[in-house]
Amino acid sequence: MFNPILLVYTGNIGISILIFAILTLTVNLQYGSAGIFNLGVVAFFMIGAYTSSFITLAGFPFLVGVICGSLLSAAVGYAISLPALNLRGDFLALATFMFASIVDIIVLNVPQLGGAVGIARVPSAFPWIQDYNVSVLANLVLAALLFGVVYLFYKLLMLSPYGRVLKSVKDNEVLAEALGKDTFRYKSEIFVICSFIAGIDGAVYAQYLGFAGTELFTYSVTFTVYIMSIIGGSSTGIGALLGAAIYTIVQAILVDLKDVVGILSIDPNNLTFILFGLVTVLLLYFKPEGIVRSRLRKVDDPKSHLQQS
Amino acid sequence: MAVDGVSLQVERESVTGLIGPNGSGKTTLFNLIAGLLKADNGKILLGNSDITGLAPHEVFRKGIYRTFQSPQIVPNLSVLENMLLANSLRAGERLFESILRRRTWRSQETKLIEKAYEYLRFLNLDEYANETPSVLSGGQLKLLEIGRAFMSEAPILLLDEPAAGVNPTLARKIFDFLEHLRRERGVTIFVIEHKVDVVFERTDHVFVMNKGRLLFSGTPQEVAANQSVIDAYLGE
Repeated sequence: MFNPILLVYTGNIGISILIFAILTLTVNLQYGSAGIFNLGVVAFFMIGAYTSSFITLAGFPFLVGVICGSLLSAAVGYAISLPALNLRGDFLALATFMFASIVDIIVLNVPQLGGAVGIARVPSAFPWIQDYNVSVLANLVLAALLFGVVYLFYKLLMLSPYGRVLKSVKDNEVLAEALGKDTFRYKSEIFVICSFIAGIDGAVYAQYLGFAGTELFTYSVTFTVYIMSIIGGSSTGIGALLGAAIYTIVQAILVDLKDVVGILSIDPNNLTFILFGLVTVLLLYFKPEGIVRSRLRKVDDPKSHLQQS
Repeated sequence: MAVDGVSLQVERESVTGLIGPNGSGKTTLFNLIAGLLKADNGKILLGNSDITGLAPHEVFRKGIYRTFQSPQIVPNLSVLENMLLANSLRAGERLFESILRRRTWRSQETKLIEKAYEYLRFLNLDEYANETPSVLSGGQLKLLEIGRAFMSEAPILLLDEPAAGVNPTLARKIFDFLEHLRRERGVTIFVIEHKVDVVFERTDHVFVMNKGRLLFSGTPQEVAANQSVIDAYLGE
């Protein structure tokens, strides 16, 4: 039961789930709540990871790395949002997708940024922990804390009048404008805050792996996160965790079937994509809101309540 | 050109009608005022200030609220929350304040919820308050649209066919309430309406549009008697 190898194994899967759940939450906030179809999510994840890696490698503590990484990611997000958010739906998706490709190609071709080799020996956030098992546990706690904070932020935001306005921006932008909502400002704020969160998440990811390289931040990360969002339910917070968990666990099982059990002869990562591609298409057709759907907020008439009691 | 050479003035605290055949440019004129369309030429003045070319949300902040001919809703919000959208909760609708100043906006919101229920009761929609708007009929959606206009407390209302598809008693009730808003709160009302009898009975002044131009302007009696208006729109 308390086999340390098994604990570390599940711990690592747990960390992976949480880190991707955080990224999925940013998709739920941008796409699920505000209707911003950002296909450049991975770029902000990457900027956070790379910036923090360079800063911690220069000898600064992890906290400095996280702050710089997330702020740079947010700043880039702001710069991108100005032209991009004037575009509608599909064009916004194209523009952000191209942006992520540009970031990827720049990093790949500038040796000072790591190039194709990437950045090795990224310092851990817990340099004083020598034992690998303990460091996995520490990372699990770190990822869980971050997820908790982001989840709480998402929940409080969506239950506030701000969240109400976001839904109106997503569903009926013309109406939102006519009701005095500065729709561009709302979208821009959400875009920046999600870039900021993705930046923190990337910094946590890189120090956990001890490595940052372009192969970790390909466009397929963006699609993976969107799949997680759609499966779990893109308009709920808990759906992000559920989607990330289902995807990550199925992927881990497939990897084990090939590497450990040996009954699988295809590349498990490709198989995961094929499988979830199919699931996503079916889900979009039959249950587009995902596994968990958001419920309407119900508020009783304060006056009739008084009369009854 | 949908609207051309139209020059008109709506008096403060009046109920002013805008009538004309379908396609005469009435809604386009509203869209120009509300900032949904940009005029190629000309000016829109509010009192002495120029509001030409402002974005729709800026026009709203100047105190002009417009309703839509085909009801506009947010399908993923309850009927009640659709009503609440019409108000700006200063603290609650800002990113960090929505989280850090929950107590402030919650107390503001409770008052708004009470008010929203009052209007929903007035419009016979209170039993649907916590349902999605998709359960409402076309006429009820129209009522939700007008209810939101009441919620906004805007000093100037542009109403695009508020009584279309609404049963006669309720339509009368709505116009009674508009009259009440004008008298008690000094609200200015500019209304597009095809129910000519209602327009003639309830407005102080009527503009008639035809083919993108202003055809006639006058009191209801003058409009009803004008031959060119009869030819273009009223008939008989």
